[in-house]
Amino acid sequence: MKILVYAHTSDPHRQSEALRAALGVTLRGAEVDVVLASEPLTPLAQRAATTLQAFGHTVGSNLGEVLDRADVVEVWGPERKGVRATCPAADGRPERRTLHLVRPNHVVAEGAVADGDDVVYLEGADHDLLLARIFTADRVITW
Amino acid sequence: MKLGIVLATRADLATAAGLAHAARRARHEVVMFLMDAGVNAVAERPDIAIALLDDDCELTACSNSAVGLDLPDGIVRGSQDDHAAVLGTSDRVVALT
Repeated sequence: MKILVYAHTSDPHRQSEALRAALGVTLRGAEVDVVLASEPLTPLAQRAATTLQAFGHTVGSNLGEVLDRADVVEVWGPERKGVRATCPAADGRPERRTLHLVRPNHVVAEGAVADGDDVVYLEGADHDLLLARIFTADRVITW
Repeated sequence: MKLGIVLATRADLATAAGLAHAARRARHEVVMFLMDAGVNAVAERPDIAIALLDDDCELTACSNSAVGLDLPDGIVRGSQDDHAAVLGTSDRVVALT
């Protein structure tokens, strides 16, 4: 399994938590890609990034390089208001249908939506209908 | 089918709970991992957490994030290994991080 943790925040605490989560999800053998919107902002974050790399996981800054290959994606953004990001499309996108869930005041990274993907805005969404779409998609990304 | 939910914000508690209850109505299994502000969110709204537990959702909180917080009985204080398990064993994962 390939997991992407995208720390899309300049808040030092949130970034540290994202990196702690990234370390955590390696514990059952998953491969992890981490994308940081900024350099590690705390010693804890730096240490986590170094540890991940020492164990062969990737820590980088190009979302487009790794988004398509992830089976599970955690986007760690600012809690209240999203930040615009870009995601240059990689060549040879896999045939995988992604459901993009968009929280209030957040946006999907530009370039992240591929042909055939589905985008749902969470504000006011019917959870029963949403659930059906979650299980018919191949993966879910919440922005 | 099994729905995994990772909650690490306060603002997304209602969405997490809404999806979890919808999944239970559809007879899916629900496992939820809480960390960072997601733990604060359930500590501040024990009624929502208890309703999830009563609906047979499995809730585990990162014990590191839960230090000093009162959590309803039934929420397991776990570790990041539980986070890895939620991602590794669920058919679909919704990460509200």
